[in-house]
Amino acid sequence: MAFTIGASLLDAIVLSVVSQEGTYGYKITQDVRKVMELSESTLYPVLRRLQKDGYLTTYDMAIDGRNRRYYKITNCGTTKLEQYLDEWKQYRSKIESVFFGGDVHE
Amino acid sequence: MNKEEFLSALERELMALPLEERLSALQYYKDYFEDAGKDKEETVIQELGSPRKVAEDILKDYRDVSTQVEQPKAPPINHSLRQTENKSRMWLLVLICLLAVPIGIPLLMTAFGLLIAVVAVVLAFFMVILVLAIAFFLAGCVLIVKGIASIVFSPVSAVFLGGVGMVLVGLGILSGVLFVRMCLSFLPAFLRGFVELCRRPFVRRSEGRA
Repeated sequence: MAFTIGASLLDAIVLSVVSQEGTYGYKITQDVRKVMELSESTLYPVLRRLQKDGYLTTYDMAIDGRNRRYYKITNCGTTKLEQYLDEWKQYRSKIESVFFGGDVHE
Repeated sequence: MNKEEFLSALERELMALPLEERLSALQYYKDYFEDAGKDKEETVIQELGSPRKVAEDILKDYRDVSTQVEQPKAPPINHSLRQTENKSRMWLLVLICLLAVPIGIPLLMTAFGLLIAVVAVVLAFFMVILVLAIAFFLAGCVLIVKGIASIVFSPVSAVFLGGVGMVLVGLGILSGVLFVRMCLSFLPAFLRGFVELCRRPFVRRSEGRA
């Protein structure tokens, strides 16, 4: 992709992916990779940071005779995600009004 | 490199982290390998890159997060650190001054005493010459008077006394001239040098300030 994705956009994408279902590291990586290029080692620090900030929480669940660590969005994380989505809408409409002219509705 | 080697290498690289952080990261990558499946193990290792690189990302982010949390605190700490550094430097200076007092004050007093001694010696030298001049002159005068007084009874001793008296008067006048010339030439120079010596520390300090 021609556009680079900044840290906060990656945060927003990860929060959005995790908010849809309780999910785990490998699956999150695959889901994020559907929309952006992502090195496999990039995601763990992001998840850890979001967890530290209180937007994500983890729980372990037994699967196939081993523990898998799952990620879940917190209330705080949901609020943050809504904030991100609002900002994204504003950002997108501003960019698109430049790209495609002033007839884009706010 | 297989999965186990990768994970143990990663664990070694993450030794700087607290145990909880390290276990969390290892759990994540262990899960990752398991979920990717046995057949994708090599692909995952290739894509992840070296354990060191993975660890660097984790460590960098951990530091960033830690410093972010402490950021409001960090600048004041720095500031007060610098302040305490300044303070301790000042205290050090005071301490040095205090320690220098037992040596410094006697040294200063000695220097002052030496200065006074030099001035006294020079003044004494002048006094000696002045007194010598007056003594020669007076003694000469007295001898001349005595010579004139004894001219009737003993013309020989009168001539002798008068001669010696004149020589003494001459020496006295020479001494007086020497004294005057010394006063005129040497003393002002000496005094100027003395004043200059006393002013020098202050002059240098004000020059240093400018």
